[in-house]
Amino acid sequence: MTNSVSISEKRTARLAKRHRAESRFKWFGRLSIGFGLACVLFLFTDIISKGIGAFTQTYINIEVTFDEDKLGINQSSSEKEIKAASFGSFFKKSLREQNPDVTGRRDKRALYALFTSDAPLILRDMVLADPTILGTTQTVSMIADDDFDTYYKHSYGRDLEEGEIIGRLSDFQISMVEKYVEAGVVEKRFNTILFSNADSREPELAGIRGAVMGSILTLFVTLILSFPIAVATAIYLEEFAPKNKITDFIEVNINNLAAVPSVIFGLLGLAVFINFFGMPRSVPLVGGFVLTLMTLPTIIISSRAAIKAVPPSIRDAALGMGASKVQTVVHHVLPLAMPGMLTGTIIGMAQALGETAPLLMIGMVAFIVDAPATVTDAATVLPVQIFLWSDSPERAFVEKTSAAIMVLLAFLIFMNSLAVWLRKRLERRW
Amino acid sequence: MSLSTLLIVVLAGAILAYMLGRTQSYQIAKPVGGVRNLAALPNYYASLMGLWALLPALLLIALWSIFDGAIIDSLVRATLPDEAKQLSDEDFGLVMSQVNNAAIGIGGGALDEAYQPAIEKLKSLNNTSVQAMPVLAIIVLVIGGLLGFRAVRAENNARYAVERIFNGTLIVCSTIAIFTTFGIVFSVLFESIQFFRKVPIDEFLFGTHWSPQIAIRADQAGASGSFGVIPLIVGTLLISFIALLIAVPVGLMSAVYLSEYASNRVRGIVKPALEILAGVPTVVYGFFAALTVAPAIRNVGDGVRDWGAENGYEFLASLNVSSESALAAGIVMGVMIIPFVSSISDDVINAVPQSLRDGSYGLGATQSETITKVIFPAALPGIVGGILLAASRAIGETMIVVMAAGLAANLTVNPLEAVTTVTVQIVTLLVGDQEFDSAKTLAAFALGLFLFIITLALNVIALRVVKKYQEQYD
Amino acid sequence: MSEIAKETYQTVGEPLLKDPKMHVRNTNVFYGEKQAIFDVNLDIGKNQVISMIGPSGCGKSTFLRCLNRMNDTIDICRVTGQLMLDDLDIYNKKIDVVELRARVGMVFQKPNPFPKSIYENVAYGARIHGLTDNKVELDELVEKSLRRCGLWKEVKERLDEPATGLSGGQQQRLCIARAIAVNPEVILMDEPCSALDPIATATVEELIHELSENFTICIVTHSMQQAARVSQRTAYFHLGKLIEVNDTSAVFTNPKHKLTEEYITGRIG
Repeated sequence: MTNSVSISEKRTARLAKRHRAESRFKWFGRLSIGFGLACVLFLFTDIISKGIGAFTQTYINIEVTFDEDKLGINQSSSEKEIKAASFGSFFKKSLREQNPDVTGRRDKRALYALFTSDAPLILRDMVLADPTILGTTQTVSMIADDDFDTYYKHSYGRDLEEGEIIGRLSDFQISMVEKYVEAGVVEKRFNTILFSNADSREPELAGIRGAVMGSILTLFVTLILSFPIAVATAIYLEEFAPKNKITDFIEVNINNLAAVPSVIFGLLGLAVFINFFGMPRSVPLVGGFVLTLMTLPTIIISSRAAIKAVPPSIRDAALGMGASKVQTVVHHVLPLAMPGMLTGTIIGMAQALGETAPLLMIGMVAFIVDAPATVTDAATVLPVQIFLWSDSPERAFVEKTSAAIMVLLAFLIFMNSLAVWLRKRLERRW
Repeated sequence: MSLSTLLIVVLAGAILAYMLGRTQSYQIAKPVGGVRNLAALPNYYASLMGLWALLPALLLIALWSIFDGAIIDSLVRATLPDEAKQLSDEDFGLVMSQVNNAAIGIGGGALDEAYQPAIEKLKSLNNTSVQAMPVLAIIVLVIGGLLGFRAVRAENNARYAVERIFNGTLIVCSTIAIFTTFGIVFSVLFESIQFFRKVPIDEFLFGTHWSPQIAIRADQAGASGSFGVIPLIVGTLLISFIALLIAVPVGLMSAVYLSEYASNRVRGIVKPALEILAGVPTVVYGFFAALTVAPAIRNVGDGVRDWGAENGYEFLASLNVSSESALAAGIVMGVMIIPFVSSISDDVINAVPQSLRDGSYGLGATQSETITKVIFPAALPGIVGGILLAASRAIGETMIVVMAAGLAANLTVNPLEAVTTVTVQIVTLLVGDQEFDSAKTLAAFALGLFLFIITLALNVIALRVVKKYQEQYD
Repeated sequence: MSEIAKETYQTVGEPLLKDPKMHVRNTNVFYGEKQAIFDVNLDIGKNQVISMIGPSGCGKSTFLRCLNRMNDTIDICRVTGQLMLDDLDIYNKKIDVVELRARVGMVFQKPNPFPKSIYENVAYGARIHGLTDNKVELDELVEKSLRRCGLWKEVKERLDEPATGLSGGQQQRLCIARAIAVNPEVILMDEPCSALDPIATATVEELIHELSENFTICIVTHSMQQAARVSQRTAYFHLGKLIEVNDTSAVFTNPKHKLTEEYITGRIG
């Protein structure tokens, strides 16, 4: 067949071109994946490089003589008297005495500003804890102000961008920092303040403890509400519900709620819980309610999948033994579906932990200095804390924000790994 | 007694009732010849008694907590002096909150003597409420327990009752989804209707100017505020479009590569690595967009402009990149939705039956030809559905735009300028101090209604398309 | 498994031919650890129909899919031995599987038309291989292919309608038309009639018969009657081994191997 010859020639002629198209297509796929992976890598390195500094804090070891006369108290003073003593002017005076060459009001003020504004309180707490130090000279590790801290940690501002620190510290302050460093009294230590303090206006005193507590309380409320409700709903829809318009409607509702933007749940919380039921603003209880409504669809959907995965033969076996429907479900289906339900719940909780927008709406954005202790104390949560700090201009807050993000991501990675582990460990293949 | 203590007490009471019921059922079993002659197992009698004790008490506590505020309010209202009753709604609310404050002892003295009876009344009612609720709850608990105790009879099959309660609980739980939807619809609808009383709906939908700040003094510029939603819609669409421009090709191609080309080992590593992007909270993306991506884009823009100025490209001289550019927010949002698009595409592509692939390979098609000419067309409805879902995600996304996009409602499609979105405005209008019925606050709910309708429509259409598509190959 | 693997056996009948279109020597196929085909030697004659019969799971489909490397789409599948198309080594790493499949086409058990129009289904192969230069030529090719499959009269009025709207028999003939539009040298058919009703089956069988003038056809079937009707040679597979190959009439009237005899008399299968 002459036709056949020409056809196979044509085929061969196109082959090279087709293979080039094939490899172009493949490269496009590889590039896409490369882009995605690069984003993951870039995101993490960016945040870690920004935040790693916040895990250390600069301290200046200074000698403080707790002079009874200057403070106007002695070892027999009552707690109240100690509290009333003027530690502020005492601290400033000690600094002036240690640096007699600093004269002029501006320079003096600049000198005080190198230390945290909480310095007098720290000295006061030392005396309160142990009044016998009155009259003695102690070496006190004083927290450095955030500008000092940033300047010192970033190799004297050299790896910072122009304007980030230059301009915040005056030339005089820089010379003082260098003087302290030369004296060998400046040291970097692991930053426990980050984990032991709640929010503060002063970056060097701000910590995430309040936010972490708020997140834990909010998640606690979310968990104890959403898990039982979701499991009950899943059981009802999978095992008991008759096939009718109402159950269809419930299903449609659940599927749609899963895709409603989270900010809408915030509006719901504001209008219903706060304005209609008159619940207090900014509290973990209401935050938990809102997050419950938000995570319910996720947990219901995965719980239903887990129940569906239990083979019907098990139900038949139990029913065949004369067990009631409820007994079958409670004794057999539920335990077998539990790992899958727990996995779904953990993933839902992880979602809730990272959620920010609806909590802004119900007022969990307040600046709160005390860590909350109960679900009705005003509180904020970790993602909201990140949002609040990210608005602050200080370089030290950028660092704190990144550190808080690292902590949040660590929690999330832990929760997701737990879910994966649970799935691998407990889930049965039928 | 605080609420949590009361709840613990009630729970303990219910457990006690359970144990009593259990003991009693063994008692009644003796005369009839053992547990096997009871109509139900002892556990069912015990559970029934426990539930009889628990549920009415819980119900009472719940109702009391919800309604005591309103009831006390209306009782106090009656004792207010006449002048207060004639006040407008807003001022009346103010007075009531002052009375409230006075009753708990803050800001006392702001009100004159005429309000004293109301304050006293409120104090005493609050007191009664706090003391009466635990007492009543415990009484109800005991009565319930006794009623339950009467049900522990050998011939009474307690299992039926317990299973009915079980079933009822399941039904109540599953209706929560419906109530949530109703809650959303009514809360946004109710406030929106109030808003549209103040601002005409056509002005809202077709207005091209958005500045919700209402001046305090009447003679200030823009005193009434303007609520035209068009700039917000354009801003939202612009950012979502940029996001989809990134997410759709990258997500789709990653899914194709992973499901059609990659070896199992590569897939096992790359897939979870990409899914990390889905687990990162949006606030982190927001931070990343605002502090890393946006400045970087602006620097590049400035660099290009300077280069243009040096090399005589006049048209570059006017290049001005906003530090809150739509581009930055869009790109980061796109990165966020990559795993979402990729996992939907993955499902959709895998739903295309192997026989179609075989058919194409059998004719000598290359893999890319099979994918682009057979799999994509076959999977098109599913992919379109997936893109719609992704679009709904992008439109409803809040934190990234709150942190990285601006507040300025510019009506522009230039991705280098700052725009604002519907979600940004909802958050900005509602965060911070608010008077509840000002047009500014109500506008947030109107925007919420708008957002809800748009995303709901997108989701419903998308789910329907995807479902139809999946049925096609079942 | 290894016990059986070591066991040697001899295919009875006449597996080898003079001047074959394809020849297969010492071929084994593994799925992971599991061996599916054991040491098969077989020649496939030019412009002949050869049918592969045997009980379910005997490896006849697996063997068929080796012949145009459709097994490549299964990751764990491994093929050893020598398989030649004329003088082209099919499993040579350098050869282009795309070109191979253009020369060795395939029709599947279940009709699998693409969810496109009838016209586009037939034109697909021509488009990807670039067989035609313009619309007129493509139209001609489509018409010719459909005519050869006896489908032209039935569908010429509705070439733009979706192929999924055709009946099962029409769909399968469309798939055959799609395959021959690429003008392959060999067509592999994997139980092409198993999803069809008897009347559609008869049409397809007739088509196979006509096509055998120009194409070499390998057909896997579980119907012995079909093998007898359409093929010149028949190969009997049993548990991955090629037991007997001979002229179809010889296999059915005078089986030499006991297993073959048991199968065609209906005692196994």
